[in-house]
Amino acid sequence: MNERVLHFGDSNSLIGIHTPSATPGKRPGIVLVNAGVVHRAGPNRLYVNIARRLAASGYPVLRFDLSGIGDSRPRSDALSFEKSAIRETSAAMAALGAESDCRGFILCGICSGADISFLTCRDNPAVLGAVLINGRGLHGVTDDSGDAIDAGINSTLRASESARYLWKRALFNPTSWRKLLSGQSNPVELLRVVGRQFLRRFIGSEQIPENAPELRAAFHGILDRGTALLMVYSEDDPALHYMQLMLGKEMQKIAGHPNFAEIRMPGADHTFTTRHHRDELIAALRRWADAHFAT
Amino acid sequence: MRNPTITGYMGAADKQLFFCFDAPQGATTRPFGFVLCPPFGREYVSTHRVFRQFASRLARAGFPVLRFDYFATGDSAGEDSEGSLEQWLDDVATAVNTLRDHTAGMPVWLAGLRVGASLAALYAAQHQDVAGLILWDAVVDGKRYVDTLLEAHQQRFRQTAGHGQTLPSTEGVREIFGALLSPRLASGLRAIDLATLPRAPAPQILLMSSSPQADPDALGNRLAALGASVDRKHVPWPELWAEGAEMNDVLMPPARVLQAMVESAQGERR
Repeated sequence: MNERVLHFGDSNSLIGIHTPSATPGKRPGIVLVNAGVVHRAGPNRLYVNIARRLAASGYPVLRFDLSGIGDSRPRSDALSFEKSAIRETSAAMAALGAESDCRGFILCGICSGADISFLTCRDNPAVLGAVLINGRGLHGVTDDSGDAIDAGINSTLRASESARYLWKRALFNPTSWRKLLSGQSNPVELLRVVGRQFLRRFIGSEQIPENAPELRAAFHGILDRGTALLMVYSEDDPALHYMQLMLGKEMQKIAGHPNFAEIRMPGADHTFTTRHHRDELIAALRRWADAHFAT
Repeated sequence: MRNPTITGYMGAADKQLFFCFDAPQGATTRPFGFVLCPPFGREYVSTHRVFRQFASRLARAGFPVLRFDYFATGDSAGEDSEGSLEQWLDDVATAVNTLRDHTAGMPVWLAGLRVGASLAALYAAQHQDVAGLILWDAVVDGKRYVDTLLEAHQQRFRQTAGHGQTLPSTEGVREIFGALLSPRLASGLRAIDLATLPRAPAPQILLMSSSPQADPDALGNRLAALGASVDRKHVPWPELWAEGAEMNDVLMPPARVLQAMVESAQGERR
């Protein structure tokens, strides 16, 4: 095995594992961003397997821990999580660039890792592509963006306290949101309780989430500058419904953009607990990366 | 300032194991060091943070500490299905030697959780070269452990996906909550039976329990009968490794449990 531990960031406080590409070439480097609080090996060791298989296909990979997660030290300043996560992901890109000489990057993450990837992608033009798995764009990192939807759901669901509780708990409560990361909550079961009818009704309402325009603008900005986006959703993952709420009819326009691709994986849970789904995901990721970046 | 943590890989070139060594901090350096043996599968993922905290507390109390990932788990080399009990016992040996290399041959204690505790006890019984053990809610009966995990996995996927993706592969590899269980690993784990250890694994043993289900008396009596000096501590805490564990419990390391183990270690002379 030729993997190496890297220390980087302010005071070398961040830790990551570099998997060098098996073949010399000019493919972009891939940076894997923590799925919630799960350390750099990823849920069900998914990040280890992504790194090793994509490196075998010619992509150098770095999977790392954000400050305070896994083996990276906590920050000593008062920087917000959003700002520190973007800064640290950019530091990871720089560290991988220094190790592997790659000049462009693909960011990839599940859930909050997808959200951080999206935000970094928005702010850093060195990101050539991003794979956002069960991500919700801005919400996972900046909790305010979910408040409008939360309020709307609360008012619509007054009649069903249990459904309201489950919905709010799983989708908007940060604690349970993290629980989803581990695959312990079951989004499919949740949606059965809440009901698709409700979702459709809410989508059709006039309540437009406060941060929706910002999210739409961010998508267009990223895609129009030439960055490729791959959105991956597990079947019935709350993230998909959230994005439908946030983007509305704009979703069709985004889906038609040549730099945009979306995959839905039937039967997969939030963290791809079954081996079959993990293998499928990695194969899809490799196909997408090769189609855009293999030269 | 010297970085008190060293990370890297150890062991044979074709079986590299990730390790993290925390040097002792503070004015007092204790007369022995610790190797921490993690649990397996989902239990490993949900307790990674706990092990980091445990190592940090021990290091602050003056102990050198080495954490590591078994072959085919975490950051170590190996495909997910390549783990085996025999290999993991060899990995414990590699970790013990690495700690000795970093501490000029200091005596070693092993501390493990769940199947990590079982591995620690089995290694120690076999090698007779560790000064003490902390066994935290050890898996005493491997067959029951494997059967319980398989049943819980099947139950969950019967209720939800139900698409049959968790059936054994052609090689007989089973799935348990994201981890792979080869026939070889299943057989090794099923063979764990700490109640029939032939000899005391170490002179000093702390049986730590936090699970409300814990019943360390039988194991404790057996180890005492074999001649070990056995101390028992029970500090109730939710089973943070269990399938239904609240994420709050996972995010909040069990401070009282960790402190109890550190205090116990501080009271030992070797």
